[in-house]
Amino acid sequence: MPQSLALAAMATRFELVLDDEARAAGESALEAIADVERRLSRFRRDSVVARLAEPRRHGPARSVVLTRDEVALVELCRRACARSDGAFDPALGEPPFASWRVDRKARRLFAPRDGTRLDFGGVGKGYALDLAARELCAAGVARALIHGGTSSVTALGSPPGAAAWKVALRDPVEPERAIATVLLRDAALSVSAPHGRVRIVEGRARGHVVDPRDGTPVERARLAAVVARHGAVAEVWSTALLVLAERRLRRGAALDARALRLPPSISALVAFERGGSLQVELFGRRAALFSVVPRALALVESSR
Amino acid sequence: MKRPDRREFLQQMAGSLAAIALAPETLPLPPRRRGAQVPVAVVGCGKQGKQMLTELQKLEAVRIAAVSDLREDRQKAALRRAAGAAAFGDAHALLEQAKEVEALFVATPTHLHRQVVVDALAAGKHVYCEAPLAASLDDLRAIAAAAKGAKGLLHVGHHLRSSPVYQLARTFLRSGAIRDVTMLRANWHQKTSWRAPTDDVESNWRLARKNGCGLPVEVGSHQIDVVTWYLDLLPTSVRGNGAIAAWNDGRDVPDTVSASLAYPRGLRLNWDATLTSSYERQHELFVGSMGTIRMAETFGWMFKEADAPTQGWEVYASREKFHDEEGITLIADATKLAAQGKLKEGIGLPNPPLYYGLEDFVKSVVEGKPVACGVADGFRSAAIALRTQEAIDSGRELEIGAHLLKGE
Repeated sequence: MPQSLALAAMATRFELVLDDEARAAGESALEAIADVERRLSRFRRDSVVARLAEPRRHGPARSVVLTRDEVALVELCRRACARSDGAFDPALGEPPFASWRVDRKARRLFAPRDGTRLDFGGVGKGYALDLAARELCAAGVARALIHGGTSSVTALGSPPGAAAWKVALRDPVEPERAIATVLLRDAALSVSAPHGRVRIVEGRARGHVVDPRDGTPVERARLAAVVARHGAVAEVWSTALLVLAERRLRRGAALDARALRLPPSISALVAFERGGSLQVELFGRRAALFSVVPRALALVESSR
Repeated sequence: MKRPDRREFLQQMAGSLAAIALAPETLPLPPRRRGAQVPVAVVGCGKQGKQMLTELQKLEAVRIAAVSDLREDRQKAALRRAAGAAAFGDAHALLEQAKEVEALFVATPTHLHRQVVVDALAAGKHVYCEAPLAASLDDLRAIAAAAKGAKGLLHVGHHLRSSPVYQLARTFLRSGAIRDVTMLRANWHQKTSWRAPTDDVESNWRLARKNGCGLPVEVGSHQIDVVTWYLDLLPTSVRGNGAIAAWNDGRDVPDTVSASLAYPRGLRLNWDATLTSSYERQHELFVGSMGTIRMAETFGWMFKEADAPTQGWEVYASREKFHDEEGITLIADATKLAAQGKLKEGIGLPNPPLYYGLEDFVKSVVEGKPVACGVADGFRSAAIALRTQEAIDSGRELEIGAHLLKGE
């Protein structure tokens, strides 16, 4: 019998579905998630991120010692920041994270100046799922599904009698419908969309995703879903893809994988508004993992 | 109840504790060479060992030179946190081969503390041993004997003693802020199976009664220690009960327990713990005739009675609502923070409680600072917790005689 465990962390709810006998492994996985929150949350006084942001009266800006996993996360973020031309950037304000210094040998991250802040919000969720999945694998768990706030999902193995876990992506325009389904097996999915949280600016609804480079809100790109081997990679690129797509849509340019500079290891879906209708594009070698739901497809076809 | 009478307390403890009260860790040490990092090792790299490694990395004065664990996967996981450390299969090999190591942090299962601590002290190392200090009176006595006359220090990891918030609240309580302490309450609630994700029996040591542990020892000892430290009082008897209320999975350790410890002059500590619910998590409550102090790991509050005298500083205090009550948040360095207009930023602590315990120990090693929680304190808290466990198992009220708390 499958069972589910849950944890409130990172301002969301993590849920884990696994076989009954694997409960202890599930608890270890949730502990790994809680540990990531303790280490990376910018809302906790005792996190690495808070420590790095503490102003210092004298001497150089702060640096912090990281675990080997955190060094890998930081390296991933720096590379993605550079490759996406700042479309993904966990640094709040200048300079971009790609230019932050890391001493890999000493496992130390240096703040470029006093008081600079980091936000590992989204990527932190994917990274937490990676560490949780590692705990499960180490305990010999062959099948499980973990999600953080439903927008970050990691699948181990497949459910009984199926080749993969089938996850539906909510339509950004009509949320009661699915825009597509995606098959996951030993893979991670991340979904970014500006419609999750909305604030009203000058009478206009604006989503919570902005281009880190210039603060432009993402409006035309409505949803980006990325499948990758690791949750952190999926998170980084779903955020970057949403912003990169928005940049091109604003210029009236076509969305193609080469121009978007997506890494070859990921597969992705982007839903966007063009000419008043919702369109969908798929990218990557394993784009067939996504099946666009027929009604949505019809919408795309009718708009073309 | 009146405030603890120091003379009475000393009389009660006289003789029984004299030997361990004079253990070397209470004596000032010559300062260690400054500047150089102390090579240290972590023994036992399970959940607690991993947390230790994480917190130790924040301390500039130490370098993690070695780790040890019986399990290779845990060694590997430890090395992910400790760059450049050497890994060993057990503490014996570590002590034999990693000669440069000056201090050991012991985070093995509680019933294995004795061997590691005794060997490490015999090898002249400084030792930080996770609390509870041991899982049986025999082991406690062996450790206390090893600490007596040892060259190295022994610090017991009742880390709440090192927490700036707990220290602040203790100062308030002892200065009479809540006047006469009349009632004590503590709880530890967590929804967890307490099971390690492996079939390996040794890894699930907490679930077997033969290992001497259970909720009173594993978690209660920390809270009992806070009461002893705050009030300078020791319990005289204990009664309690326990049951397997939810985790009926073959374990013989109760998952839900409660106990009532009697202190002098009618004061009682009512304590409960469960693995079935996370409601209220961890709290220690000191109820007094003019107010109540409530502690919760990195937070502390004081709730004043309406007739309590007003003090000037309260005007600037940060407050928090709990249903009908309003708590004054206890903030370490509040005066300084208030002067900078940053009082709110001081709520909670910038590090987890464990960090402060490790930091205190490192300061003892490097600077000669007196040990924050020595063998005498660790002995007493573990012995009281063991007796609590015994009372729960037997279903009888048991005396806690001074002889039980003897260190030799």
